Amino acid sequence: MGSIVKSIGKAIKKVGKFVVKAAPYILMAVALYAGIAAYGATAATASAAASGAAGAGAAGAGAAGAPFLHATAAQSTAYIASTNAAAAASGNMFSYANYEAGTKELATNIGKMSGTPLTGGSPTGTSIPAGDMSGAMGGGTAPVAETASVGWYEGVKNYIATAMDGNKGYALIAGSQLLGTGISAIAAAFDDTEEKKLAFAEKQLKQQGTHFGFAPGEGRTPEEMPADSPFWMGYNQNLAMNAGAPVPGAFAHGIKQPTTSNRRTLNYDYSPKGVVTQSAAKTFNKKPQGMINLNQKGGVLNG
Amino acid sequence: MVKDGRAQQIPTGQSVVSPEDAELGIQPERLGSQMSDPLQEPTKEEESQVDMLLGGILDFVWGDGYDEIKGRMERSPNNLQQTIGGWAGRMVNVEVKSAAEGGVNVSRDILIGVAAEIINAVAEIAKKEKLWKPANDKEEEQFQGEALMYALEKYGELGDEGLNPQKSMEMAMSILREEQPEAQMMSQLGVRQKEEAKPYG
Repeated sequence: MGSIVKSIGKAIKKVGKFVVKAAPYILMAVALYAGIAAYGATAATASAAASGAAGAGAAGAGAAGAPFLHATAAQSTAYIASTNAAAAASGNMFSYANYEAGTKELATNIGKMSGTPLTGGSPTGTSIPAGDMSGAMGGGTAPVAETASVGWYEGVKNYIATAMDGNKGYALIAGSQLLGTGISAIAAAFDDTEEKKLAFAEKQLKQQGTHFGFAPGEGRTPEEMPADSPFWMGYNQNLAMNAGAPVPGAFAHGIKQPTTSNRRTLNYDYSPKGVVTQSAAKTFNKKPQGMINLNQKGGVLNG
Repeated sequence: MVKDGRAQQIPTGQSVVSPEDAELGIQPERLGSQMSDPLQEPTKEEESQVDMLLGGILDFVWGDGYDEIKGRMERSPNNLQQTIGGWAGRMVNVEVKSAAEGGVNVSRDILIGVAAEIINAVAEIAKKEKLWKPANDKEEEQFQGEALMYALEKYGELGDEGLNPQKSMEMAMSILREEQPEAQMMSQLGVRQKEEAKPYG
């Protein structure tokens, strides 16, 4: 009977445009929330876990206290395996408090990252007879407490946005390829307008060009980098040399700020200190002795 | 002589780490045959569990529970996403516990997808009964996303001895690292493949 009821329900009651289902990125954001909350729940055991993870080779970058911050998946898995699951699962693992604890724990590792706190209550329920859906719905007729203006969804959204908004901690992670582009993809998915997508892509592109000592997210572009930046050193650009080594802060031609547009020109305009004497043009004044006539037998040179 | 047409076995390799990353202590990751997949493909059993959980709950939502759901939403029209999310969390929690009593250990990996399906069904009722008037598709999605988080919180509040925080962390880690294609990730979260509405099926 069950399937018949469901079919009838779909046929009769689902008339008109269906409510769109939650997009994959929303489900992934929820799964991300769950993972961070679970991480927050294990925070009490984090110190022990950190030592365990370090033993598994998760050294470096001060990331021993978070499963998402290890260099490799294997190291993260080792960290996760070292957490105390039983202790974490004893309370409400997915509470917002745990989520906050998880973000704070992350913040200690990668900089300030936090969601917008949730205020308000949750519906109170009655005891639930197993299999009784009416009971399972709970809540009775009591009005549900109104949530404040910002909900959890906004909280996670803000958390992700904060992570993407030039956050130095995140930039460090991104630059270190610890997180990959997963969180970027989720954040981009939240920005569903073409303008925002383009802006996001542009930002990503700019971030890709800001390496060599400058963390992505600082808003630096190559043009803004000082002339003595390692970026320009990579081009051997205008640095005064002494005994074959570049002299920091000293520039060959008084150029204080190279740019990507004039870099090429400057290189070609560079006047060497030595004198270059141009050799006289040489011409062949002898007639060629012959040419290979392929029609001749045996490859004979036809002089 | 007939040559062996089989391809050579892919040797084990390592990812390339830039000097900058090496200074940060990042080590190359082993690739190839030693690469491990932290998340398993959803099993046939897990897929059938999705249908098992959803079958009973959706029958209730579209059948005997329809009027009750409608009535409760009418009485508490404010903050419907929290109300609906709470219901979904409770329903899933009850079904999982009932299944456990019946000797079926439901995979906790699939519960987000199951809850999302329930929320979608109840949101459908709310919209049809004009208790919820979303302006556009985006608002519909956000509403359900927020409800899903309430469902998650409610599920945790009700408790489940089978919950494993390590699995949740692994899932989040896998998402962040983009280890799996999106479709596979959805499948692991218990999202069913798109199905056609069968009015008479």
